[in-house]
Amino acid sequence: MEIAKALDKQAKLLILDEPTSSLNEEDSRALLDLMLGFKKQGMTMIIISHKLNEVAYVADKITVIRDGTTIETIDNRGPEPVSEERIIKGMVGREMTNRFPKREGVKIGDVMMEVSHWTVHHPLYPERKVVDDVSINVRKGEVVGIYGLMGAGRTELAMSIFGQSYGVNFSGSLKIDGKDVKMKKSESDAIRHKIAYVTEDRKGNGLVLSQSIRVNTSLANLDSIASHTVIDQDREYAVAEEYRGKLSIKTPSVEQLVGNLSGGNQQKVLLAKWMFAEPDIMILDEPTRGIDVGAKYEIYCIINDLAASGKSVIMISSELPEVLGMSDRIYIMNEGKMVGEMKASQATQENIMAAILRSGRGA
Amino acid sequence: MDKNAIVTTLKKNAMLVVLVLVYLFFAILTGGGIFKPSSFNALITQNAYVYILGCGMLMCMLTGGNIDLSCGAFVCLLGSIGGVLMVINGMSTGVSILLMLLISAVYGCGLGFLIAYVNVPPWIATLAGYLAFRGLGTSILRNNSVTGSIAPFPQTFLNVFSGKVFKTADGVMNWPCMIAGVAAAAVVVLAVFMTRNSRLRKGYVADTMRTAVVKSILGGGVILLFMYKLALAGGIPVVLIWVAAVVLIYSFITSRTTIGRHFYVVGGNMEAARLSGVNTRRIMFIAYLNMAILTAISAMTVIARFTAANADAGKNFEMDAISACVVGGVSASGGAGSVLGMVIGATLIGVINLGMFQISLDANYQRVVKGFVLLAAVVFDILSKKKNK
Repeated sequence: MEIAKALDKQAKLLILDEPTSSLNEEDSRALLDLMLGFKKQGMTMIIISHKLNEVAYVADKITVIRDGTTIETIDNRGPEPVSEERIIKGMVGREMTNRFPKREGVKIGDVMMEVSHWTVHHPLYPERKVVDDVSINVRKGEVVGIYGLMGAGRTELAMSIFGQSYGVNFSGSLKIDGKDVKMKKSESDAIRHKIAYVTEDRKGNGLVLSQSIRVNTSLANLDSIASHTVIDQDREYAVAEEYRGKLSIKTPSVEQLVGNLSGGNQQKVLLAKWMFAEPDIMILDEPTRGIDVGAKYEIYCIINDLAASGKSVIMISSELPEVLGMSDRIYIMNEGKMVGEMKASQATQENIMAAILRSGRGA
Repeated sequence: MDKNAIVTTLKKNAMLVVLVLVYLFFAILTGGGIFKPSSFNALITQNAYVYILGCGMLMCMLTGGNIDLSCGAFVCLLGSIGGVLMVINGMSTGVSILLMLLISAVYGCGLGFLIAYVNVPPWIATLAGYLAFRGLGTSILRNNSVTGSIAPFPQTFLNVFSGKVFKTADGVMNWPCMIAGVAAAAVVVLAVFMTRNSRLRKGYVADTMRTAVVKSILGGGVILLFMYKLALAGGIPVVLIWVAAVVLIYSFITSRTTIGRHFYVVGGNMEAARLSGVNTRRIMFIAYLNMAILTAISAMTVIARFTAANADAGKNFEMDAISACVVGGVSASGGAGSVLGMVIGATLIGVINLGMFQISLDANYQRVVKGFVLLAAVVFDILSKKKNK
């Protein structure tokens, strides 16, 4: 439909951003063949996609972009399409440097949370499964990474576990500390069960930018500093100061509006809010997105401290090095399904990408 | 440094400064007329409904700039119902008040349900009431009275919402009023210093001595002046007790309680509030239920003031309440604003109304002035926020 609109305007250059992400295999192939037809008519097209087979199929030139910079451009006009392995090499071919703090005294305990056969449907298209029969578990003191490409269903999985704050028609079971939990569709219920979900979109649904650090820090656990619903303002102030010190949030005062802080400090306030909620299980969704390298390192240290204090941490990330550097165990998701699980010691960038590509082809 | 501090303080309290300037402006224009005891009395009795509705409207606006258009028309409807109950059927004051509160609670629950759980946009949901209630109220009045106005309301009812406490003749010092004023001023001064001391003791940021003194002099002084003038105008208007109670209660709720905090965060970022465990739908529901209850209280003060229920009662009340909030710095997009700000905004509009009335400005021009004041307040609000960034 959108493509027809563009054609109607007699476009000479057509940019397609993940054109097949909502299509099935057959329609995708038809669309790609259509593109090849346009090419013969002299139209210039740019296709943005994470599906390597598609890119290799239609493109003349393939440019790999990572972390906002161009990595390389591969010529694809030979008789045989460029192999996917060749493209992956460009995507991950970076030496790992010492960007992650060492985990010390790792003591992994019993299983804290176990999710089995978790299935969630799209809120607007209930026939579509966004999370499809996923089973994961996380132990006390463990950092579990969930890796996947955009649209793999990681955020949806996390939010559906967190008080069913995303999706419809849930099925599957949830065990916390060995006990079956029937959670209502309520975020406060999830918080009561000691789960925290630290969003990937801190400005959109994480922080109240127009309020102070103090107000944001206490928000998820306001009752603990109130008696008979009256907030103890002195205690609230003390709590905010405590976390400001603990997480070294750089600000002149906890009365500063969160909207005035840098991305890294905002992320720390978001973490402070959820740490103050005193969860046992923390789900961190892209905890280092859009913040500078120094702040990233600090966040990694906080994550390690959380795990060391016996919390169970689930870290969702789109950055492979981060997942490899931080996790004890890694789950790999693609298109709503769990397509792999490996110990961090066995995981490499190549075999993680391979797991994703294998599943993509199988579908 | 000193100069800077003064400028920031003035900026912070800009509306208060504007209020003082406008007041002085009209004091000159009216030849001191606005400084008479009767003017102070009028400021309270004529604007009581704005303060009460303003508290409700503030709560609605905090949730995200949502408004209630139906409250003015609902005042008319409730007045006509009250008239039928008390004047036509001769029911007792207590039962009638309870029935009126019950009716408004039912309306508030329905409205809250539609807005919070069916996701009807607030201005559309309340537009229905705006259109329907005045028609309904007027037809009830016409069916029960040839003049289209039900009067007079029983004295027991009037005593609860209008008149004076320990009334004395004009110009004679009313001691109960003056003593109450001194007591209230003392409480304000004490509160300022006790908060400061407790903060200092615990090592938190507190007001400087000078700020505390200025706050006490201003707060206490205004109260003393007001009560002195009221004491010369016959005593404390009963309606002032209602206004003071509502304003104090809502001031406390918004600034000190968890539920008040929830109103601010829902308006600041609804999704973030929801994901932090705030029941956002419940907050929306409470906002409109609360608005309906305050509308009932407001309706009672209005019919008591006119001792009659009229088809015109409550006309443009919703706009007055919204204006008071907006002029008082309540954000039109939600999440920011205070009861004190709304009170200043309502008083500013009240002073302008009274001043224009006393210099007998044409009613049409009065509307023009009010329109521009509202616009100026919003522009001012947006600009001052920009500068802060």
